[in-house]
Amino acid sequence: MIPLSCLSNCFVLKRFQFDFDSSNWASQIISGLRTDRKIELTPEPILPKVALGNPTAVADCLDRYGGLVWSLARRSCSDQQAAEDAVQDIFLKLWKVADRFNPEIASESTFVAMIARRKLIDLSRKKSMPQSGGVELDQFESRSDDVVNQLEVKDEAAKAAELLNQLPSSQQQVIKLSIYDGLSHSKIAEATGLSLGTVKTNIRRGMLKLRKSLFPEHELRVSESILKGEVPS
Amino acid sequence: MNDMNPSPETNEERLLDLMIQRATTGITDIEQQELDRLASDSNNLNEPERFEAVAAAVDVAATDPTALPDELRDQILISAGDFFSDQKDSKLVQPVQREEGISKGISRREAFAFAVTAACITLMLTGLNPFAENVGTKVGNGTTTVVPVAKRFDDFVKSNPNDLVDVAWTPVHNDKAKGKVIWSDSQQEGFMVFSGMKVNDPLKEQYQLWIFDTDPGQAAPIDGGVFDIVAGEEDGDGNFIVPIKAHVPVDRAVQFAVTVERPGGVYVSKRENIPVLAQIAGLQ
Repeated sequence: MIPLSCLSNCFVLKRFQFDFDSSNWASQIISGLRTDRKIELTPEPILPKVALGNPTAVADCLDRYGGLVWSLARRSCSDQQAAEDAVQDIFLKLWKVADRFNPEIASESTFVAMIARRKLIDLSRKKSMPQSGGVELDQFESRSDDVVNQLEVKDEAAKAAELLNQLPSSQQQVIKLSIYDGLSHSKIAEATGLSLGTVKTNIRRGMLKLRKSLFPEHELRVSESILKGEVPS
Repeated sequence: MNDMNPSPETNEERLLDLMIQRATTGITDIEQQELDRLASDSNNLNEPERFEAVAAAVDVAATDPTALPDELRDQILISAGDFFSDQKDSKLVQPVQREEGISKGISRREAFAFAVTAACITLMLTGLNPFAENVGTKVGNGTTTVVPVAKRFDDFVKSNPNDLVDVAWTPVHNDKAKGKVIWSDSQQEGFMVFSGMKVNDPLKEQYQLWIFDTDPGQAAPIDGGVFDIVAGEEDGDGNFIVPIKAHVPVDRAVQFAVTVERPGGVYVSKRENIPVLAQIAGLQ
């Protein structure tokens, strides 16, 4: 007989909690864009119907977000097969958590991207998939154009892109390398020639600005020096 | 408090770094525990998700979606049918006539949506999960034939993957339970064989499989799905054969455990009823 002590402390599945508080940061962002046509273009959420197991909604959801998830996976995974497996896992996860989507909190695309990113990061770490290395910086510079070009069709994502473009170029660069390509601080230092400390400081300052701008009504409870992005030596 | 404890400011910096790292490149389970503690101590419980949303929003804005390959889309729709047919409370939609719909030239997308619908209807009408128990195989004329799970089991055993493990169940809370689990990491496929397991009422409880793998960064088990022991479905030897459907890739399975849970399964098991488990020798 195998003693129960052989088992893990508890059977807690590798699932996540989408646990925002009840505040409405997305509407705060959108309210500032009230006259913008982006609001009218925001499609009716499909995930509530998916959560009910509506097959047509499932197919519509795939049509709406399949390209986004596929693109994220292709960028993150080492090969096509790995990307296909990842996308299947992501959508399975999406079916499971569709009932947790709250349009009052975030847009569907952001919600879907969060799920996708969590899974891709998890798979990347789990499988030790090689992340993009040897990055050519000129590849990144062109991406800022991509960001601008898509402002018309993205809600808070557009706001995030707009905020990103307002950051100092030094912070933009390292954040793009970190978020888009999943590079570690040391890899970024290697790719940019910056010191590890500078990379860390720039990412921290940039992410703090983005966080404060996207969630202005929610106080990040840290000391003033941290909020200002001051990094003690 | 000893001298090794970091100062509050150091904790704040550490919290911030962990949140950013989690949102961008991920963190280990140990780091997650540290993050949870630091976020809780500083009353910043929702901050990790906010930073994660920031990264997701930036990523969405920078991503130019390219079309999902058709075959992949079809596979996802099929697995969606599998998933939702497992959900006892799936919402039904109005049934349609399959032959009529297809003969009128509906799109492949609609055909698969129909398949998902049909699976849900089958589940509701018969209590069976058509996706879980059998696999449909396309034959020459486009019709579909059903491969019984017993044949799939035999075919899998005969294929004899190099890494096939074959481990007997050890009874824990059901002394009469016997059988074995066979599994292949490379195939990501396996089967459970049972005898002496109590027939369950799927409306009251279901069996749930948990797969433990060796990935050091993943202390939590993998969801192996829920299943039922249905009277009359045993094979000629009196065994119930249940295919294993891991919901995430299994790195290297070391242990399997079956629990009894509420219908649909649970995220967190209280481990109050563990009929059987199986540990692969020499791997831990």
